[in-house]
Amino acid sequence: MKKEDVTPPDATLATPAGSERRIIPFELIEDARKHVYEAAVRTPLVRLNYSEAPCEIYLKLENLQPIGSFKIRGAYNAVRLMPASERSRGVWTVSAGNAAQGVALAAKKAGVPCKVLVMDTAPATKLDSIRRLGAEILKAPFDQCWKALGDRRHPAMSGTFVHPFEDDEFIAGNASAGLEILEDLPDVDAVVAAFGGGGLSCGIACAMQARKPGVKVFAAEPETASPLARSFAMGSAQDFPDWKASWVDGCGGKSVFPRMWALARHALAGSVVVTLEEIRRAMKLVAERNHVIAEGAGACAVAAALGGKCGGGKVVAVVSGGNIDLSKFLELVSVA
Amino acid sequence: MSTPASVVPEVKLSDFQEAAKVVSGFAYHTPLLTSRLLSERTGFDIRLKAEMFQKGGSYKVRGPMNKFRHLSHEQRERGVICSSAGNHAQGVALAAGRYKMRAVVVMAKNATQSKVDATRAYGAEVVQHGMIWDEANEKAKQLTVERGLTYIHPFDDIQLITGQGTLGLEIYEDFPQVDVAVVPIGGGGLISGVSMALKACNPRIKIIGVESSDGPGMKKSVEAGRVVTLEKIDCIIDGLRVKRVGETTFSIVQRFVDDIVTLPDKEIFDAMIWVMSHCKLVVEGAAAAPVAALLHGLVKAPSGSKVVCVLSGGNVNLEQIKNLKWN
Repeated sequence: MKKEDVTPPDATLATPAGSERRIIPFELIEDARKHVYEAAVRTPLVRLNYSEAPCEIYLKLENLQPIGSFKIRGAYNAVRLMPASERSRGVWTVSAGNAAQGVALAAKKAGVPCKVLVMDTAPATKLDSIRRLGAEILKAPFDQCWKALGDRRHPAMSGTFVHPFEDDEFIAGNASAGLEILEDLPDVDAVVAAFGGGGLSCGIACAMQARKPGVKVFAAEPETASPLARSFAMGSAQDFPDWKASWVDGCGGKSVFPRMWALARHALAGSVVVTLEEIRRAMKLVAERNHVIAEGAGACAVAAALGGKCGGGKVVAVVSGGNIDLSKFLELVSVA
Repeated sequence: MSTPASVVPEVKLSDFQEAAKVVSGFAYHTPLLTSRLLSERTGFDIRLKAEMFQKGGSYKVRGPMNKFRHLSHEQRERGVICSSAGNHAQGVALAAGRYKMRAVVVMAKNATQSKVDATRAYGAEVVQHGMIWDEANEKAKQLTVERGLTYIHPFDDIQLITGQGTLGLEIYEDFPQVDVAVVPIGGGGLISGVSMALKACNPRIKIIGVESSDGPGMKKSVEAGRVVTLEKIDCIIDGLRVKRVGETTFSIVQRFVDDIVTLPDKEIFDAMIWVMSHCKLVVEGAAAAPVAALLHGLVKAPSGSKVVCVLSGGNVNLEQIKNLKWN
């Protein structure tokens, strides 16, 4: 697979469109779609039971994946497409908790060992699941992990690296969720998904660009960590100096990676920033009306749709995951 | 008056299919979900029938949707009544709204305000009377006569049961390889419909019922060979707490259900927390009973069997369980 090495476009946005425009080949997405159900499931799309919403909101329930998040799609595809010689060395990744489960399950299916460098913001439920899947865990501070994502190496890790969001194979796997949305709701107007590294929203956007370019795909970010909104405002890939850790641990990075910006700037319609309180309310609404548990990142997308900034019409909010400690979840939804 | 098992009302596959035409015009065809962990834990190939996604948050809208089509024009003009502070109230209210019929729901005065509000929001008139269900039910019977309404029983009605059975048809349609279905039992309406529907599709499918051992009305009745009234009931799980099962449901269960297993409330509550933690689904106590039976090894079937677990609903007060404790 061609690995582009894109530098951020300059802040004036004067670079001719297309010069560094990154594309995920649609054949790669179609190929991922053929194989993804060897590990993932085709998740249901349900209507949010809330008539006061500003648009017709649908929930794509990726929290019902075998690992409780969409990450199995990309992780399985990335490990599957690795040359056997690389895979047999074992794999490792860096994760806030969900990608680690995806890579660990993919490794388990391939019968190879897996090591994960996990951000110290990960809740116990994510760590327990990674352990159950047989991966070796090393916890590290968020900054150290974020740096390892950029360097693609870490002194304590060995084996073949699976980047949790920025490579074509991983993104193509995630894009399979976009194809499912189009099949279940052909007249969808917009899709919104949480943005951490950007693999989910960009993957879905690539699927839409190939199949139904009129569909707008938005990213959703928590106010405590919204480097994409800042990047769109500045016209180039940015970091987020005021980054704060929160219970929304599955999205909201410290920066937008240049290679992701090369995709996001063309593929996404924008970033919708929501407050933690809006996310909490969306989590409660989804639990009470639709009886599913969304983690912070999953509820973040729903909050963005509820705020009306993804437009009217039919809006799909991707409930990217449900991996939140149950006691924390109950505490959050018990507040009026 | 008890009905001998030999006169179980005959509901044919075509009756369920007729019911499904009406029910599916309003109720959702809910998905069958996988659970990797539950499959690993039990050695079965498990699917979860996600009825918490149903309109009103439980299967209870299916029965009234079928029941109402059998009412006469005059009965429809006058409206229906039921007594329930739970899912039956919402099911009746929703279905009555669809039929553009008046619905009166009698609830005890201490009913949870959110349930009162939800039932009103579906368009029903809520009358609050008495402190327990029996008192509310007496009031409902009185209003039935006074206002000429049609009383809708929560489980002991063959047309209602046929409507609930549409859930079984959906299971078979989506997963015809099913070997075993595990279904909660309260009054027996759901399992009566589901067992007859599934066995009409394939008589080899095994049906396992799950009750709380703190109130095993159906198991005791089957053992006695007649409907028995429990003298004492310690079960506090909504939907499982029934003192006396129905005559019709009893005779159907006796004939179509292969086994009834029981567990204490405490273990059912633990299973509810387990489902929420691992399946990311909000389930109510009754819905967790089949999962509890599976987790405790009470469902006996060959390894690799294809087992469907009916998650009957998701209407639970989350605030009430926030300390993860039972009571």
